[in-house]
Amino acid sequence: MTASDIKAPATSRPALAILAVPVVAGVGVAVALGVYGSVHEPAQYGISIAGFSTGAVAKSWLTTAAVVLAVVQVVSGAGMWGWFGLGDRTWVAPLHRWSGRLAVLATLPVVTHCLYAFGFEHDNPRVLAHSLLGCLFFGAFTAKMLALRPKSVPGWALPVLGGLLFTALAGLWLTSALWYFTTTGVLR
Amino acid sequence: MSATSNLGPVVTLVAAALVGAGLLTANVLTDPVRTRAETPVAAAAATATPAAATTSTAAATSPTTTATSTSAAPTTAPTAVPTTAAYAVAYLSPAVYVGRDATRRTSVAVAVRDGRVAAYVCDGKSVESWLTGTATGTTATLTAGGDRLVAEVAGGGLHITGTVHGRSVDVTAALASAPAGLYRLDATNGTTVGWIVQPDGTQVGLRSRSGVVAPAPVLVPGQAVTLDGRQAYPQEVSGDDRF
Repeated sequence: MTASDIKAPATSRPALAILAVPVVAGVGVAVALGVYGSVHEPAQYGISIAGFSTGAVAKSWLTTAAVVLAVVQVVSGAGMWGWFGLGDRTWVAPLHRWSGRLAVLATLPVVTHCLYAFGFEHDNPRVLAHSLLGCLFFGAFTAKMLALRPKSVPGWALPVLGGLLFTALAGLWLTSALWYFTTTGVLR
Repeated sequence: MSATSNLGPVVTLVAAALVGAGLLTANVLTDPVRTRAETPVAAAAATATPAAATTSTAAATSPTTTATSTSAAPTTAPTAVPTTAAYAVAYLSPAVYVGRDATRRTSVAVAVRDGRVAAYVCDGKSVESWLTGTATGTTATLTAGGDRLVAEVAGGGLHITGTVHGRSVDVTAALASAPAGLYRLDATNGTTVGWIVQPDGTQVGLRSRSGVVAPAPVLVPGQAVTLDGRQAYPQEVSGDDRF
């Protein structure tokens, strides 16, 4: 902490207040998903996604695609903050937006199947971690989208929310797709 | 930055919510259990007890019946299927529950389909039994000779108790997906082989002919096994198989 940091509240307090709406909405979405997953009785049924042998395979590959896009997200997001010499490239921001949209789109069939067929479960650490990370991911996504709108959010807010999104998705992949690929096999 | 472009993230968020809601709605609308849960029997059972409500009940009707009738006469609307019995959703779609007791001595696999159940109990050494039965509510009762098992829906799986060859069985079985599951081979020489493959990949199996039991060959799901010099393909057991 430096003296300039301590003097900051005068300007940072309104900036932090701007984050209240995204954070509250994000927490609300995360809690709502968790509550729905808990009270909804698992249907053990889901619509099939064409081109895959089973739902679990489809989900594993869609999650893997989302993780690949999320790596693009981290690189392009850092690029928008001047990293990798990408600060003045005009294609970086559209790449970031669209890779993000596609990543979230890939996760939607997965999360709806998870929620509808299985729900929030805590039978073992992997499943509990996956359930918690799933709620965190969509909460963080909501907060991130809403934090993009106001113009004076604190400079650390978007990288933190983006990093949270990537971390949650990576954790989701490790506790689901990687687990499936290593226990059941990739080529099924 | 104009205000319009600043709306982008909100549009993305709303679009994601709409697609998610649409997918969830598609799940609900096409779920065979949901559509059947509207029948009076299932609705009454669902409201009767909290236990029934947590597992949901469905009438014992086969989706293939409707599919066949519509494909045969596409212009005819499918008629209301009569409800015969109500059973928990855990016994509805083709699935197999696999587990073993706390001492890892006895393994049990229960295949379910449309309220009908088939089970195999095996210790990999000397005790094995094939049982069949039906489900009512959250309970399925299976028998074979003097052997008897009762399966009860517990959490996402089945709690199975009973007696097989005088040995008491108490196993919690969880929903398993291939290659885990229950496999059977009926050889032409009268030998029957059963395998239970656990989710961790371990398997137990026994072969039996006229009551004489011997170790089963190693099963690689999807591949043939060699039995008495002949190649044969073990089959995944379905809940409506009868032995």
